[in-house]
Amino acid sequence: MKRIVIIAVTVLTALSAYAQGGKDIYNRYSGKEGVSSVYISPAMFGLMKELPDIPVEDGEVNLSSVIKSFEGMYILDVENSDLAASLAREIDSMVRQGRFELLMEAVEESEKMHMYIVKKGETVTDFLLLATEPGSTSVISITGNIPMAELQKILSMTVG
Amino acid sequence: MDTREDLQEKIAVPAGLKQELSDMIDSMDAAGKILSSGKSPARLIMTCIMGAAAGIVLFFGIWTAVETFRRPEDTFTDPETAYAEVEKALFSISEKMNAGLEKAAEAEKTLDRSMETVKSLYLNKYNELQ
Repeated sequence: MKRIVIIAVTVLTALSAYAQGGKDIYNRYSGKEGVSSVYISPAMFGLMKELPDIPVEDGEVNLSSVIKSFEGMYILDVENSDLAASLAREIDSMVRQGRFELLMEAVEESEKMHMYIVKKGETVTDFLLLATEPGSTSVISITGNIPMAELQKILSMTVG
Repeated sequence: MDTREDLQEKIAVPAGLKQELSDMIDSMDAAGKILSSGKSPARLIMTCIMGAAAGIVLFFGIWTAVETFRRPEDTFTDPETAYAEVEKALFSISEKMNAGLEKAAEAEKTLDRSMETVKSLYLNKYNELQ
């Protein structure tokens, strides 16, 4: 009996650690009141690769090449203050596990924005944006095989 | 006067008594084994509680596994709409990045102004001393 309990606890602990991923967090928050969610699967990104390249004007960044390196995207926009605080805590806890490295942090009064990445050499396998302000939290999580140079293109493009 | 043989013939042994006695001896034997193995009632209760706890832990483990591996449903069915949403998300990322960089640029300007002030004060003092 003792052995069964030990095995069960070990399995549960391992699962909890594994569960702290984007998919698990998305599953738990999507569909709740005050939560807008978007999920784009690897299969959908596969279909997007078949789309013809969109011509770009001078000065514009061609996003199709970088989008083709994506494999999955989760977006959560939480307007419910309790859920927003809980989501921010969970993301923080996931990041503290050490897999992610901080790319950028910007804090203005009560608004905070953090960008994290997981890198394998010059390829970014995970990108995570966490934006928090009083009463709301937004998370954008992208997985794929994104060359660092392509990511820099997105970050440096001018908006508006 | 009845002889011993006569009495044995008159008192009939109830049917199944032998089996009942045998079962009783077996159960007493089993109870004795439990007591002799050191499993007190408290220990038996603990074993039951541990069993129930193991069951609960296993239930939550399985539930967590199901939740973790559940694949979410695609929000869009049309790749072009999905593409547009991805573009929107990338612009949002860029916008937030630019806002951060603007703050950094403002801070840099403030720092430069402060440095200029310090430099001019230093030069004024230096010129006065000359």
